Amino acid sequence: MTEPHHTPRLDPAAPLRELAHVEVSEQSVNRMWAVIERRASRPAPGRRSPPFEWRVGVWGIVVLILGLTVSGVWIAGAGRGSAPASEGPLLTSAGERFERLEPDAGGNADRVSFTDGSSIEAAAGARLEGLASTEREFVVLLRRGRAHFSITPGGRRRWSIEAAGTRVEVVGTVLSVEKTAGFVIVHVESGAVLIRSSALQEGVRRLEAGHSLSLPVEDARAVSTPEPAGPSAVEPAEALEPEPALEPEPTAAELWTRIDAARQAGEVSEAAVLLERLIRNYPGDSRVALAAFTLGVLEFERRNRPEAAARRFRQALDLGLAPSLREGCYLRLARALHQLGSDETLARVIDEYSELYPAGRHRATLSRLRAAAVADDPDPFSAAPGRKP
Amino acid sequence: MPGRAHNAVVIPLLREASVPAADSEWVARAQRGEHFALQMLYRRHVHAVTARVTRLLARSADAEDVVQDAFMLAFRDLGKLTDPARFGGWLMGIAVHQTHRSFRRRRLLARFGLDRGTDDAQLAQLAHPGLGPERLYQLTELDRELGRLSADLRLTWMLRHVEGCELAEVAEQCGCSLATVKRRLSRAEQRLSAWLLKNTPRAEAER
Repeated sequence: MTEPHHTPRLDPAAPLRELAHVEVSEQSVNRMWAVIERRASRPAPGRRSPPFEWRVGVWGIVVLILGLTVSGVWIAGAGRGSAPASEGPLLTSAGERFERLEPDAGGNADRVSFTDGSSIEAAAGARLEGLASTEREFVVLLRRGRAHFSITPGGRRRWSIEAAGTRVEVVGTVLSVEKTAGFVIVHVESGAVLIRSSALQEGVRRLEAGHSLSLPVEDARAVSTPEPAGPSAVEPAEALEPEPALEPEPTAAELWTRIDAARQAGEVSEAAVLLERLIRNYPGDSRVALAAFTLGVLEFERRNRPEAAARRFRQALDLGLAPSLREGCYLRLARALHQLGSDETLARVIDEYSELYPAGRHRATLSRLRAAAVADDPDPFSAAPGRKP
Repeated sequence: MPGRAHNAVVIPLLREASVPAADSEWVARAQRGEHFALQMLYRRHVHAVTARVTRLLARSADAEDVVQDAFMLAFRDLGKLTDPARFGGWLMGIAVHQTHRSFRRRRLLARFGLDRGTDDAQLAQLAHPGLGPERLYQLTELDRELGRLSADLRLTWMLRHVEGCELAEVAEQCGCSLATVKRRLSRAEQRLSAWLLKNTPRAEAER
């Protein structure tokens, strides 16, 4: 038998798989590995489980018998059955429409869960309002503060988060949106979102996992835009053109000022976004290594994101961090890697440190980390009170 | 290190992938019971396996389950692997077999109206954002046509024409003979004929 004649390619030079690229995030790689490890630690079953069809058959018979038994109840309840969660509006776990989420400014964060498994967590002082909830769409308005969204993928319903003229469109992802006095900051943890705002060059931008975007709020831009002389002084098209240029790129020194202000005000997300911007836009700045280190500290100690932190600490070291900070940076990098469970990289970092600093002040701590990694101890410092975890 | 500072803004951190060791070495170490070697094998192959399984299944949630099962089975049966250098192909074969099982399960559930999953990773959905609308439409049509094929035909055709595998490789991964692969390809292409007639290079040349 010969091979079939047709060689279907959209483009003869490129196999279809090159058009259909699958991106596997580090998060899902780690998640799958955790499941494999967990399952591998269970004792092996005595015999192989029967094929799925057999199991379905057996369960089908059981369900049929049960179904016949309770059919009367089913018939009685048929008229009262409610629509599945995917049809009709999205409801909270309590079965109500989402109206508002507004934790007290001095209190704790508040959380609401939905029937499809999605959830919103509003930080203290934030205020969220539900604008629309249909089978196809769920719209919330972030009036102030920060909210964390965990949106279950796979459904047909599109989520939209409105915040001061910025619209974030999502199908399934994890992200946080923060509205500060001058900015709307969007940070995507997994998946991808579409951001629509007149402050963007083309009005829309796609933001991938691990990236943040800071946009000026409508009010701030309105203040900085001079009023036209008269109703006919500016054509509508011309009025739209200058918008992207309303916020000129600040200098490195201005960014540092804003970073310091944000950190002092406790605006961690904004500080992180500004630090990222500085690193990206001013790679030649003398303090770019310090920026990477500072960002690593924020990611590790304030945002509990060891993976991002480890990347920044490594970057700071590679960019030539000041000698006075290098040893501390190695220690933090090692701690972040230990949290990640990346034992091989941790061992390499500790070896690197030992080679550079044979009498370094963190040798004992790092040795403990190495020993803990071998012993699979998640918290090697728990027995040493007073030490910084 | 100021000399290399300017072009080193984005630096990959987890550099395990660059560790110069062949699969055979890691397999040997894993067979001796080294847990880290299993992790290395996983990290070396998880991206390729996940990408292939996701494209074959067109459903990312199912794909994760299949990938986990495939690695579990591979690690369990590692002792049976006679040629450690062929770990990649062997693992991919297990993954394709698990994909086939997942398909059969999905079809069965669908028959009873119990399949609640959504195909969120079809070829058109995975397509590069820069792909033109006409090609995107072709991929959408292909997805629809592939959805009508049986699991055997679909997997065989996709391994050959989407994944670009050689016939022998397709046979190995499907666990069947070369003749069976050719027969399946022929039958799949008969079913896909409408789409193929419109989109093959030959058809384009004839037009």
